Amino acid sequence: MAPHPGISHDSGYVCKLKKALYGLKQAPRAWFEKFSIVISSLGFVSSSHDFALFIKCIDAGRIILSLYVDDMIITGNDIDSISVLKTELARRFEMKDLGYLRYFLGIEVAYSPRGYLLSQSKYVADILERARLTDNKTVDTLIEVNARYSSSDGLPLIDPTLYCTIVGSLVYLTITRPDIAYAVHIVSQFVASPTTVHWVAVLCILRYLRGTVFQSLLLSSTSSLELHAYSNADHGSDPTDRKSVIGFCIFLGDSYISWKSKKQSIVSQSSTEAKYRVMASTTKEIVWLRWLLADMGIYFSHPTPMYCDNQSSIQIAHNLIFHERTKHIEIDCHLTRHHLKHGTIALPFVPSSLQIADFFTKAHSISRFCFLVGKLSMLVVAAS
Amino acid sequence: MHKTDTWDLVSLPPGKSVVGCRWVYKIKTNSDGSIERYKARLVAKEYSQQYGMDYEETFAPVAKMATIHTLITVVLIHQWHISQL
Repeated sequence: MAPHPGISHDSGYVCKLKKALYGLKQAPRAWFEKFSIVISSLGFVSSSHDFALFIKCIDAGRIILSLYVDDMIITGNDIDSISVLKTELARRFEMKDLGYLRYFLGIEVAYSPRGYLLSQSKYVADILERARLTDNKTVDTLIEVNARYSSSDGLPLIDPTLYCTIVGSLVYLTITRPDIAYAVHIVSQFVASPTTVHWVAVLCILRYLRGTVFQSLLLSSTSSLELHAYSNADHGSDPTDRKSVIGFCIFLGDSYISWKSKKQSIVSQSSTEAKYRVMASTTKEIVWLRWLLADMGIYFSHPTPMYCDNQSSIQIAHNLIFHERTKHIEIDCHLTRHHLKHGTIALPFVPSSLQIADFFTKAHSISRFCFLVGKLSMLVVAAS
Repeated sequence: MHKTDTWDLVSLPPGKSVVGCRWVYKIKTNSDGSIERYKARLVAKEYSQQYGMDYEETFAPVAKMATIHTLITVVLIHQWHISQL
């Protein structure tokens, strides 16, 4: 590196960095490595299911640290060990103890008798300001039922930068706002060349957000520690390439912890096939979460139910007889069948009206939308 | 910088390029607008670095959001203490 202005040096000499500086491409990696070394020397082990999760098992139980660049959450069942860890980290790095968890990565954490309420209301306000909306309208739903978007609709935007930054922010917002996940998945397909029609869809999301700034996600304190999942697909819903949209959501007790809304990478021939493929994606997530929870000291002795509203897909997973219909989806078959056989998952049937993963695969009427929002434990909290 | 022993002054090895740097100054204010402190940070100009020449691996893991949701739920049900740093 060139010696910085203000340092006296002979010409021809440069600074050979022994440590990373802010702004270097390697800086985040160097920091993570440095932190890993320090935390390992304190007896912590990095989880193999999330490398940024560090765990230390002690006699009294365990201490868990989750790292997000330079922000971290520390928890565990032994307060003394936690304070020892904090003192040690404060000594090694210049770190500030921010006390009880309140504001983490832009997520506000509020306490209520029913549990923790996660929201990003400040972040929403920030997005609305950046988008420079000129009116004060609000809307109740995000995307019209049966609305179909394609990349050729409308006229190309003159400056696509705003579209891209707003969509990028909306993706981050889905952490606590699963209600916008499906709509964001639609608009994010067009960031490469957005048009006026796509921008109208983004404005619709922003107006919906303006009316629901204080919507929060409830993580319940009174539920059980049981996993269950819903998985669903909307067959051939993309009008251009006829690919299906898949969605799943996974709950730990009553708390909603993981979800996905995504267009499949391959065309499915039938609804059954599309739903069968999403079962494989959901299975992967369930297997991962079961491992992750084991790292946190929670073990499951029975299969995790994965609710599906398609009897034929369930039959395919149970029965090896449908060779003609499934020979081309062999790998997905093996994954779901393997975990079904070994008791990691179970495949109960759920009627379509109670299929919560429906939320992530298509647009809904207002009444259905509100019903599903309620099922995801989303509440509106008054401004504090 | 001297205290933390960040660099050595050496002559430039042949075939290597130099990354520029500059000072970034920031005035940290309190919520009422009064000045809390003046902050100076030396930053490297990363845009002059080339993949394969000046650096190779840059990936650093961060916590997954599903992990954070899961962890907070577990903490709630076990009634563990939770804090942030």
